[in-house]
Amino acid sequence: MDDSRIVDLYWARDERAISESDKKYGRMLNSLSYSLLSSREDAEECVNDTYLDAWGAMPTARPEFLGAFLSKITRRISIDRFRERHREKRGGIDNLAAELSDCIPTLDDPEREYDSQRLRDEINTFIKEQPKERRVMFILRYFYSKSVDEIAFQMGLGVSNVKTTLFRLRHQLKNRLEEKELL
Amino acid sequence: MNNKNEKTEKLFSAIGEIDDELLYEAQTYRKKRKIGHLGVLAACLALVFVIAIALPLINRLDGLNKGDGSVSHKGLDDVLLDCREGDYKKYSSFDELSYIGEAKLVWQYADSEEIYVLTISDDQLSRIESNMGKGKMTGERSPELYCKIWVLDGQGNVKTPYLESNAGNVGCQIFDYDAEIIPDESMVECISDIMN
Repeated sequence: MDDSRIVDLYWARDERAISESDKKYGRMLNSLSYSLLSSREDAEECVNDTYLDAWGAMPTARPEFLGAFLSKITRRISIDRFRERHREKRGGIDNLAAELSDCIPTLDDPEREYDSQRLRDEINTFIKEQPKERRVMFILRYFYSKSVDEIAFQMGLGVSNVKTTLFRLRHQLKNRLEEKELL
Repeated sequence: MNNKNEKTEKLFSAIGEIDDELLYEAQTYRKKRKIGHLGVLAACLALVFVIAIALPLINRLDGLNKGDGSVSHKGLDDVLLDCREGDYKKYSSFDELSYIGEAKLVWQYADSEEIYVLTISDDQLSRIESNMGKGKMTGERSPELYCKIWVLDGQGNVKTPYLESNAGNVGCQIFDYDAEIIPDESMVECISDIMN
């Protein structure tokens, strides 16, 4: 079913909205949550909570890309769940966060204030400036939390290619954030 | 939580707010389809036609023919393709490369993960470096390259003739790139001499 028709079901408070969302995006959302939490049970709970949140958000929200809308909710819920239950334990999020720490400038300024909106805008600008293949790679890795092997397979590329491209992107982002004094 | 961890968390969370259309693009991305056997055959026949019949006509129209029957210089892609069957050292992973020590030319073909390596002398390295950054800028549209090539200077620096001479170095690491420069004849000739 088309995204707009599923959104119409949410707006009409028709419970088929949930089953249609699950049919179309359930697997993707489960995969996203599982890659962050490494637990099938937790991932299922997060996906169920996603539909609950989506039910609450619509009407009011009318997303053009329902998959993206639901993915954001799942990601946020999964990260919160991870923080809540796995504070001391290393896992999917810690590994991704460790990679992303490459992007953090090492400038020593403890008094610099963090502007979350500017950071989000800058990241979006940075990604949009990249050629399609690179921005897809960045998003598949750092938003959808796919492994390098999965990305290489999905994009028909070599693993080395993916690794070196991600490395270069992280360094470019680091330089950008440093320049703009965003982190 | 220390300062760097906190910043990493903020970055990780900020990435969660990427624009929906970008997420949709990534979610629906499909790899380029490989051409089937019939497609390869059709492509070969078309290529034969172009070489045998159309290319001389096109060369005359474009003014590429210099009047003595020769055409303008080959690109770097052509040079690297010509030496594909040569007896070069090959690695299966970039991790096997050493960046300190001997200078090297490293290249890779788009249809393979094999990495070709040729150790070069200091004189050859100097010659390459003197030609770096020259050539026509590609502007906004980078050409599709069949081969990627990097120059390792043996001191941890990595460059490529397809970028400006002070760009591309990320320190002891091979990197992907979109061509910003089309190497000029002197660079192509230099690399060609070294390869042969």
